[in-house]
Amino acid sequence: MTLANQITGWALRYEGSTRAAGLMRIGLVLLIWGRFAGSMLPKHDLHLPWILFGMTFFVATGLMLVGLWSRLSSLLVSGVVFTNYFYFGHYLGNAYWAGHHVYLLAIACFFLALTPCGKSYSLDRWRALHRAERRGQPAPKEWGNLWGMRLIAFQLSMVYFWAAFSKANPAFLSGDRLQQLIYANFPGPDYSQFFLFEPLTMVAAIGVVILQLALAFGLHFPWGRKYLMPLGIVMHLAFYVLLYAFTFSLTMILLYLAFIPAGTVHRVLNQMQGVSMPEARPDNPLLSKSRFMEAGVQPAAPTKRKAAPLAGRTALR
Amino acid sequence: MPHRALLLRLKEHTRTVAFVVFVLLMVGGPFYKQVLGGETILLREWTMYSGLGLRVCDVAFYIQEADGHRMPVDRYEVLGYAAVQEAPIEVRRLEGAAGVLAVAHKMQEALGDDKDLRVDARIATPVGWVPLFEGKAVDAASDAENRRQP
Repeated sequence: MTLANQITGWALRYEGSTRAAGLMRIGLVLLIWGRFAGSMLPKHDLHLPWILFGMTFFVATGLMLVGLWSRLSSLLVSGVVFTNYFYFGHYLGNAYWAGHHVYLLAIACFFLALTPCGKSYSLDRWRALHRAERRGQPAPKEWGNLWGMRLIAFQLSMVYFWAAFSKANPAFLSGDRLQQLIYANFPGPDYSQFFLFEPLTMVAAIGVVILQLALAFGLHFPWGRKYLMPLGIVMHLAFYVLLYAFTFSLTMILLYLAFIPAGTVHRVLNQMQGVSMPEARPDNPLLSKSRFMEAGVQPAAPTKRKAAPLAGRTALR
Repeated sequence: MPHRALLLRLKEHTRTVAFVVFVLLMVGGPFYKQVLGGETILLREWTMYSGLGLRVCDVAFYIQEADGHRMPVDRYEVLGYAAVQEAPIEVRRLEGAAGVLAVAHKMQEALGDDKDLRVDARIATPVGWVPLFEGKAVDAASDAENRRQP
């Protein structure tokens, strides 16, 4: 297999469970509401264009949250947030809406719209199940091409890489810029009187740059996800608590779902819901026959099962 | 069936082209703005926190004694604040030369004219700390000009 084929396979033929995309869809709406909902109310401006724009915001985010016409509503939400970013933020000069956290919300919704994000945890899914039931067909799979998740993962890598690049200068690496942020955000004490202040900020500054570079590349690999993801989450929470970054920290943590293999997310959710537990399996003789008949599943004859390894239970349900 | 195969192929080609375009934008946008120094709102750079904390000052006040000895002075104590958090923000966060001198003059007033109050200060800039005052004597008349500066 050539390198080009491997890259295209990784990027464009990534198929799997849509549950991570479904969770991301819901999480993004909540973050967007947290950031904008209060500002989008008609009371701020009683002119018709603003009222219509606000209504579009609430209708689109509402549809995206419950997952009705999920891809279209995600695309619409992306358009609304991009309007906030470009028009109100850059063109009309509302600096708080022209920030990196707003752009990240908008681009994440756009890339999410390229995935079948309505195939899980949505009214779209519920309707599809009912449609299949009416036609006597098996339940549709929570499955699809997730190339949009690859784009989100790549976008996060670029955020980390260029953030580290912007800090790779003497002013930041010496700790000066961190000291200035501390003086600005926690005014009062004369921190430089503390003899460890400068060495500590220098170590922290170098550590942040190294960690961001590691996150840019490492999250694409299993070892990176295992060791770097917790560090990344701690770093983002620290940024939020110490510097306040609007929705940026939580958006980055939510978008980490794009790095986790879709099958793993599905399996973990199954385990959390007890679906993969032996007592919940359809062939468990302890469960009544009627319960599975209701669900349209034929219970298997009771057999002595060997304890299956975890990997053997990853088939998507 | 041939139509279906053709459609699938077209879909895959469109997806490939779109993926390449998005990747180029994600790489090229920050490269254009952060490396080449370009300016456009259409592309996004990732320079978080780079504009925060600028103009804040790290300041040390002291009294220069006749024998050359420097006696450090606590601005909160001199201005009569029992705790740091009691002081207003312009005393806690000193911004720019004007902010430093405004507090210095209040302190000189509280200390009395017989004390030689001096100030060392450095100011936050994008290239790090830059010296602002070094052993500067606090003098209301000559500082009036400085206070008008940002």
